Amino acid sequence: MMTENRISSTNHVVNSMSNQNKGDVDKTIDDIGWKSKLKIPPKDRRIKTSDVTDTRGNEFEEFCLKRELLMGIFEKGWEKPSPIQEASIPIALSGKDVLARAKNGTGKTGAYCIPVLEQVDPKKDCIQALIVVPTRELALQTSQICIELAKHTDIRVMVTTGGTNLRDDIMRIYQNVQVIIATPGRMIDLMDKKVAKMEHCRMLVLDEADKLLSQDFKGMLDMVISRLPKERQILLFSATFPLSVKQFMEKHLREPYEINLMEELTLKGVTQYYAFVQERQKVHCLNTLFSKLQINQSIIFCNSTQRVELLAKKITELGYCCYYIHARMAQAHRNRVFHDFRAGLCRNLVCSDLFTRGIDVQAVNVVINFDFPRMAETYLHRIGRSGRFGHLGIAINLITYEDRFALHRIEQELGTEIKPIPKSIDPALYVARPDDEAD
Amino acid sequence: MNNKRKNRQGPPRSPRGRMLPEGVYSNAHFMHAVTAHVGDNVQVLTQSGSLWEGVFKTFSAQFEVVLEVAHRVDAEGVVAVDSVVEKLIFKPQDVVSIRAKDSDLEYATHDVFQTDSAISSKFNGTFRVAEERQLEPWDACDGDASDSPALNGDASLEDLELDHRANGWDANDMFRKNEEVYGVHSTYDHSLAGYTLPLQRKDTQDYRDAEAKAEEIAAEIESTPTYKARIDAENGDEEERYAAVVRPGEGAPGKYVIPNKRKNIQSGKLVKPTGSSSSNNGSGGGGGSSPGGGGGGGKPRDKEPRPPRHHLTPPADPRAHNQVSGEFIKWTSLRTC
Repeated sequence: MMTENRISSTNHVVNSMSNQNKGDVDKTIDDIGWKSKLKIPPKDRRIKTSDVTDTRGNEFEEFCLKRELLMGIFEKGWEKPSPIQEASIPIALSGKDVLARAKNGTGKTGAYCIPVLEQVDPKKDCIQALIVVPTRELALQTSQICIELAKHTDIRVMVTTGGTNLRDDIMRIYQNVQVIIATPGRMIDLMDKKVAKMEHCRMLVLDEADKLLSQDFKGMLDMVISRLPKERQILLFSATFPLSVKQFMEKHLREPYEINLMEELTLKGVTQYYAFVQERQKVHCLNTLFSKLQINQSIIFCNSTQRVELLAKKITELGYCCYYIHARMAQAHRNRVFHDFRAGLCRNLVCSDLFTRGIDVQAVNVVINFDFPRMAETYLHRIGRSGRFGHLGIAINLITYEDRFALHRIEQELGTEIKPIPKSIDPALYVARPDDEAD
Repeated sequence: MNNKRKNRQGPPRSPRGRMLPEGVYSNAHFMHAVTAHVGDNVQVLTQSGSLWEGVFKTFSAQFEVVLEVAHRVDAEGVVAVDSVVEKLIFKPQDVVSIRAKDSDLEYATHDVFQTDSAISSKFNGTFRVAEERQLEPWDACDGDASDSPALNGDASLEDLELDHRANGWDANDMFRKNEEVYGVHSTYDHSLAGYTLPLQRKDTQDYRDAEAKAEEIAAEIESTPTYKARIDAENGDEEERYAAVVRPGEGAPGKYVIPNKRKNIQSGKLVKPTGSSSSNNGSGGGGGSSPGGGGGGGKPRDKEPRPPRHHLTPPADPRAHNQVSGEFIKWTSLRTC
């Protein structure tokens, strides 16, 4: 219903594509052969919202990708492109600049990793693509996805951020790496020292561009771009679209193809509640939530590093396993927490806003704001940690008297409604049942 | 649900005056494909081999094609200025091909690239104004007592508050407790296998030379003045920077002190440790420590001694914490009642 226009306007394209496929009988028979040999993970049968299912119905095969890449895609368990992937992959493959706005957790990483890997020539021993992200954990995650997708190709992918061993990273570049995922600071250092030679790097991806273009990284992206060849393609992804992104786009992107899949700011699958409490009731309230909710995995946000540590400690004392993570930890500890939580080894994680952006843990179905954020943007990124890839989830906000205006303001800025927490929360809103079907 | 899109579909077709379309108009698929390009710049290649460019205006049932501001272009794409005519009609038998370059079938619907405020502004008025809304207090006694396991007696109620006398919780303690009590066994690999390119270490002179060179460059980078600032940028905690829990006397002494800065006097914003950072980093790279932990951007590493943790004093006597409580904010002051 929503997509009627879109579907019909591309009908003829789809038709002509499938005709081509039919014409190529040999290939089709071959297709059956290779696909049956893949180790495809069990189908994800959880309910998905239209944030990821509202597609034109394209298949990954229709993008004319190399076989080795398709194998990686299917082995990752990705069945069909999400709306953002459907929109961006063909355009990115045509070499055009892309400016894409899509919600968190709707498949952005795949939307740029796939065209990047498709366009990299494994036979050329030079850096061909650079993916810039704002945080270390996001860099690790992106790199891991990229490596998995490239599993059957000979493409060499590495990650370098402040926090990885610099000498080893330089050695990796000497091993003729072709795709680098990096944070801006580390990349500039490596380019300045002529370790990373960028003259053949014709693809630049900026993920979480609003953050990369914020005051925190002021001017760094301009420095990165100035070291790339003139003929280059930029793919820019952002969930929010502040003025800084607009200005950057006007300065550096050439007739970008704009993809805007945002008509509302919050994720469809995430139901939001508030619990109006006194500060000293917060742990009590949290304890009650833990005992009542069916938590698959949860992320709990605090507004200070100290509170992050103290709350994690408290939760383990209340009888639940719990890790914490914040920006002031040793990097090795951060990596370990990040890895183990993503692997599902620990059910609960208390964190600061280090963890708000882009981090994808699909099993998270509950997000709790132990401390309510002040910024709508932060709120959006935080609750976006549940409801990944269109799955269902809940976000519960502990609100004190001081937070009440922030609550109203954020509700208004995001055009969303945060309801009082009911006596019991319907599990159908956030608990996946085995018999759920995607369609 | 989404009225915006539906509205774009235009007025409903009227049922009266039905007549059968003639010529190419009767081919629905063809009509769809071609009308999608009306208004586009197209190039028409004619039987005579000349190439005309113009705005695709319309076409007849016999597929006579009308271009506006039509002009001839040569093979190099140069416009023959003298050939411009306001309107040009091509007969179907003259047309070899029609090409619409860089056409965007969705231009009418996707160009609304909105800023955040633009997206949320359309909800203006549909939500209650802030002052009008009464928040419902959370009911602490909600549900059975059995639902809330730790709710018996005053002592356990006290357990249900953060222990603000403690200064934090060491990461190693965290790992240990989760492992011992909850059986969380880490699968983290310090070489970052699966996350980055595996190093192919070789026992050759070339490799050792390259490694020495890499070492040298790494040290050079880590000793540049901009290094630390660049590393810090990616470690930002946005909410901490722009907003945080309300603390009495923001920026005054008593603000939470992060572990590796606890000896420093705090004045206003976070003070960056000076001097020591570059030497730290140098030793991190030089020591050939594990990739995960090495070169950690001046952050404290496992091997560095952390300042004593107050909460590590025997928990049997909680009053022992009182001696340090002056150093930090008493969070009790945040309580609203």
